[in-house]
Amino acid sequence: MPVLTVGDRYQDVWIAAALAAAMGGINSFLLAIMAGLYRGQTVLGFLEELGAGISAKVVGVVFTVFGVHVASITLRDFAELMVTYFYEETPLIVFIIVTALLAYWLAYMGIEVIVRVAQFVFPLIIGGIILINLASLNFGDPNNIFPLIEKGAAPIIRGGVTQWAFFGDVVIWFLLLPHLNSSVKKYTFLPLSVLAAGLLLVFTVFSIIWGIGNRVAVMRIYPYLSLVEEISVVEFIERVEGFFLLIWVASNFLKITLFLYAASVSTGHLFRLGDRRAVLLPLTILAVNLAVILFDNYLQLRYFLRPEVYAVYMSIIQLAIPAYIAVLWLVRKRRTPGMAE
Amino acid sequence: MLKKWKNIIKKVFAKPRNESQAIGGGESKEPVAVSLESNIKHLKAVFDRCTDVIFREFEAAIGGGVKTAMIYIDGLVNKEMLTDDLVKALMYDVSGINSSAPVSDPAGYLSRSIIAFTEVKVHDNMMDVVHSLLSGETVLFVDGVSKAFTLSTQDWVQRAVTEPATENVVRGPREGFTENLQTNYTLIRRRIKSSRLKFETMKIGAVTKTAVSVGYIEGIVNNKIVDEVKSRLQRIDTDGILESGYIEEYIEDAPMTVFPTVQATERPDKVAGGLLEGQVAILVDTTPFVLLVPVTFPQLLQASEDYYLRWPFASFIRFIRFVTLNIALLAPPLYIAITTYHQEMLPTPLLISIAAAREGVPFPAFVEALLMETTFEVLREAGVRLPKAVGQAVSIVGALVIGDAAVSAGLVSPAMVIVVALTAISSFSLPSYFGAFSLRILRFPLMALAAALGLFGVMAGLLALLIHLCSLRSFGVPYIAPLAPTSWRDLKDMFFRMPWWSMFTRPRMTGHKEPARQDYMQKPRPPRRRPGGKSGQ
Amino acid sequence: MKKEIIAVILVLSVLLFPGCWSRREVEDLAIVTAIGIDRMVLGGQEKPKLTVLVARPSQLGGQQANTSAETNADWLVSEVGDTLYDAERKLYRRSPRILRIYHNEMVIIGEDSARNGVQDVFDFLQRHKDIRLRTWMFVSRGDASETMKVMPELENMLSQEISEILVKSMPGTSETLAVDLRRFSEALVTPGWDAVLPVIRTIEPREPKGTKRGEKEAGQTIMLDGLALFHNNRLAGLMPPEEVTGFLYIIGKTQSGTVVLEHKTESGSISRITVLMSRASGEIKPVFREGSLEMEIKIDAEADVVEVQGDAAVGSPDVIRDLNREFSQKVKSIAEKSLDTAQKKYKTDIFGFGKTVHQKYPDYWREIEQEWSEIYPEVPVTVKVDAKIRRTSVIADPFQIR
Repeated sequence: MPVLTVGDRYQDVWIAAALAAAMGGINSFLLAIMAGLYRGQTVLGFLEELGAGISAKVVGVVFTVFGVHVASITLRDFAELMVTYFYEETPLIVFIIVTALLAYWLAYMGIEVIVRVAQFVFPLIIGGIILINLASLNFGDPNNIFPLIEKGAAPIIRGGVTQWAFFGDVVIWFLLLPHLNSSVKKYTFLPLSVLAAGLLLVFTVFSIIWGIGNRVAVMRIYPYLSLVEEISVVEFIERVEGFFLLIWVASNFLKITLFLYAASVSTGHLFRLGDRRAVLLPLTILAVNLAVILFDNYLQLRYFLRPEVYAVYMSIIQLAIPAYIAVLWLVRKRRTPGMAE
Repeated sequence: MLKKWKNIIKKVFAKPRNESQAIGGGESKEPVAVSLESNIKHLKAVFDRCTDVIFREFEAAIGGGVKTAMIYIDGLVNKEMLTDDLVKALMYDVSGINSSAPVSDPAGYLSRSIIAFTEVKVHDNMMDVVHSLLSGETVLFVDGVSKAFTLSTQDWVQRAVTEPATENVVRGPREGFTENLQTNYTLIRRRIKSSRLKFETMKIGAVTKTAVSVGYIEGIVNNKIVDEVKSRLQRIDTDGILESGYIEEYIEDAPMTVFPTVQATERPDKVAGGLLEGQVAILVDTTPFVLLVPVTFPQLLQASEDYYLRWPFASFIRFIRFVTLNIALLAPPLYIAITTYHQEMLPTPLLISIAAAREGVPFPAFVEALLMETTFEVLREAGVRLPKAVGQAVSIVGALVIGDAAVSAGLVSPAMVIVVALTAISSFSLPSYFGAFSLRILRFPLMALAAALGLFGVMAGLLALLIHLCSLRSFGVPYIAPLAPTSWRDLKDMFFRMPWWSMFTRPRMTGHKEPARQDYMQKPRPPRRRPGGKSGQ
Repeated sequence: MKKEIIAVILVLSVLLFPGCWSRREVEDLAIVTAIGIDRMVLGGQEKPKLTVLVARPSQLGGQQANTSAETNADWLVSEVGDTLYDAERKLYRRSPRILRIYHNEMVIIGEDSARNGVQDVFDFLQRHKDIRLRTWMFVSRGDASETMKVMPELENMLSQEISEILVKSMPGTSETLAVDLRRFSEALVTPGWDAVLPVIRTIEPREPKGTKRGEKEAGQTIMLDGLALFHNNRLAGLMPPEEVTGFLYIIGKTQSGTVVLEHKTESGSISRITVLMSRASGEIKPVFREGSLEMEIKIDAEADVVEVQGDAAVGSPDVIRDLNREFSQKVKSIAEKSLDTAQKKYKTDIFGFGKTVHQKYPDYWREIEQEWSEIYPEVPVTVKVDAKIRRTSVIADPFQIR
């Protein structure tokens, strides 16, 4: 959802979203194939098996930092919206701490509980977004999406890359996949879920363009919220921003939890801790602190999420590390035939 | 530090209690004596100052006047039966056998030919004799025989099978469990006529010796759950079990939660249904509440009536119940959150009328809600405790004084009264009284969160609740199955109640051993026409 | 388990002890229902003036409502500030309750302020988190603060009265267009599309006022009177209600309303036939004819006969055929009249001709975008109308009284 708060906006942004979804799908498919190679290990264990102990450490550190960093950015972004829109007088830190505590608790309970909570919450989030989008189709002007591809392919690709960067989150499944039930179809589940998320994103962006037009959307920091504002069903179901708030809280909370969990798995592996939960609290505190001190103001955060910064940052995690592992694996495989089986 | 304290506590309080010590002397394994006098003396010593123990000595007509004694506890036995079938038989020798002839095996002779009871046990150990006596059997000593006969003469005053008080239905059986274990067996056995229905009984409670019985259907139930239940029951070491609530607290998975992870019910049909789905029933003597494990949260929201009504109605009722669940938990917190933080969410006329109604109310919305909710809980508790005759008066006082007078005095706003009333009615509509308890309690922290942080607080509270619910288990079964982990098959019996002929399988979590409940293709359909044309000939 | 409890206690204490920052009880709010924006010169300096109408809950809802009191159901208060937000905060000086404008239904921009450009007003409206995109927008004849002094007739509050007239009643005339902030903003920021706003004005009704109003405003009432046409961010001119119908036909937004046709019957007399518009659609299509841009407007209209004055035999299909033709001409003429006013007189592209060109011919648009305001008044427009009469209400031929 943060994708809706940054980047260029023009009427073709939904095409960019589709592009991003496709890129994310391919990307995650590759990741899933690679994860299949690990045979029940995390990426770190796999690296060690390949004999690259030092790079395992490095990757472990990168994943830890990445997890905590993204968690803190998400915390901040989320809290900023709360303060801007709903709670003017409340200090930012309250939302950061409460959400981080909840995420800490859930991450502490382990992947099984995380999955169960997600199973419960996801239908609500997705159902809520779809309902909002559908409700927004009865106002607005479908002609808003024209002209198609007005400014050529460049802005679309740029937008696609921006949004793809947010799908980069899937890279943390490198750490989580081994924990999943083996009956889950590893190769299809990740790309399919990314594609589903991408479709939802396309639908959402489309509704925004359709509903409030890209020129109003472009002025707004939270265009989706503006769309929600406009909703009026039979002049009774109006002013539903509160429900959007609920959706927003739930989805951000899940995201933060996953990243904290991934960071703790990574750290636990790094220091060969028997119980990864020992590092969870320090990591959470770190994320909370980072969320507060990383950015002076919201505009810095928005600047950070621009493609020139964020997409490059994500590419390192999302492309460089898998590529490195793939090369390493290919080299080792050639050296020791039969290992691939 | 903590360990040290624990040790101290152990030393001070943990005394192993042993009933045999209470009886006095180390006579636990003392055999039954040959002499009648010594036996009686022994028992009199054991039952010293127990006025309800009756010793009756007489001479039996057999063997030329053998001294005999019969001991029982007054009130626990059927006296008519004793007089007719035991005393008369022995004194007058109604059997007509040559009474003067010497008997080579008096004990066997007595039990085979004379004592006309269906259940006669022979003991040679005083400990067993005492236990039998206490459970309502009559003990018979015969002079010269080093055996004690115990006759099952139990018959005490008991409540008839009546309609259960807590779980009422419009359609469905009106029987409820009683305080008598035997009756409760009967009520279940009448519904499940299968040799696979097993009851395993054990005695729990060092002093009370309460019979606790574990019931299950072999082949359907997961044996691991049965073993787990039994081992948890055996672990209980306490002096008394007076109600199944004691057992519940000793065996539940999550002792610190507000949610019940063991289901208590008064309805035999519910227990039978549970057994058929692979649940284990725990019957406790002296209470009409039978425990069912494992239980999931959605099951607490289901009434047995759901399965008797036709499925569209049942599904509709489930939907209503789902709504009332949310109202019962969320109406006051949402009211507080929206009226004190998110006024923009209300339609303008509603906001203005709420504001108008609140004009002059001295309390903030949170305090107002807390006040009203507490008042309501007090009224409710009073309603349960008060004698039935006074109940009416209390409800009038509650409704008129608290509701109407408080509003007209300007102490609370009418909107708040509506919210509280709605909440109250909604919480009554939940089928499980004990499940509704948890919601009643949770409403208060949620109200506090709503007052502190508005909708965000409510959402944070709900997420915390969700994490907690997701981490709970009841005897190995996730507490909010089949929602999470999702089992599409079982969702047929969750928000909707699908027709019976479409629910082919038992719940995955408890009934996976024998998943098929029934045959496919049982949907009723019009009779197929024969190719010959008209039906029949 | 212990940790869970500690966590819960921690969270609760964190939340409860420092206090509840954003908490506002309902009765501590001053619920703003309408905002008026004016501009005035104060001490040689031009300053914005903000006028708000605040609902008085005690006069409105609930059983304790005391409507017989002399006080009005809403409280009118205005303040001048350096900027609009400054003026809003200055209102706090006079309000015992906290002003909250998230329930604001409408923004009324004074004529003077609108003529002077709405750039600053626009930023205030967009940036303010409590002003919703659904807010109805108006331009007032004269100062907004004067217009807002009028007492409502049927509703309790003026804002209710205005918005009900706008949303419920005016569609029955097709003489104005309801514009909310989103639509207004879209038109303002989209190149090749100029904004319109409904005009609100006070009139002295011919009927006596039937209510016990304050002496000052006695005799005044409110009405919606056509549209205000913007060019870029300035009010360019006003369009009278009759021409608005034509505008609505062109953009396909008519709903109901009457058109009076003059029909010459066989006997030679003139019958006045009133038709009630039922359904209409309009389409604007940019086309290139001989290399130059032209706009083609196609209007489909339907109507029912609701009144016949005269002896026109509207029961006969032949007459209806004639009427169809006359109806088409009439629609065409009112559409052209409004085109004339907007395009030629005020040179404002309220129809969004530029936008349609942009959508249809983005490449061409890029060339002409800069000069659009010069090109626009000269663009030839052809109007094609296909209007039909569908039914004649519950009687066919007019009754002849003998």
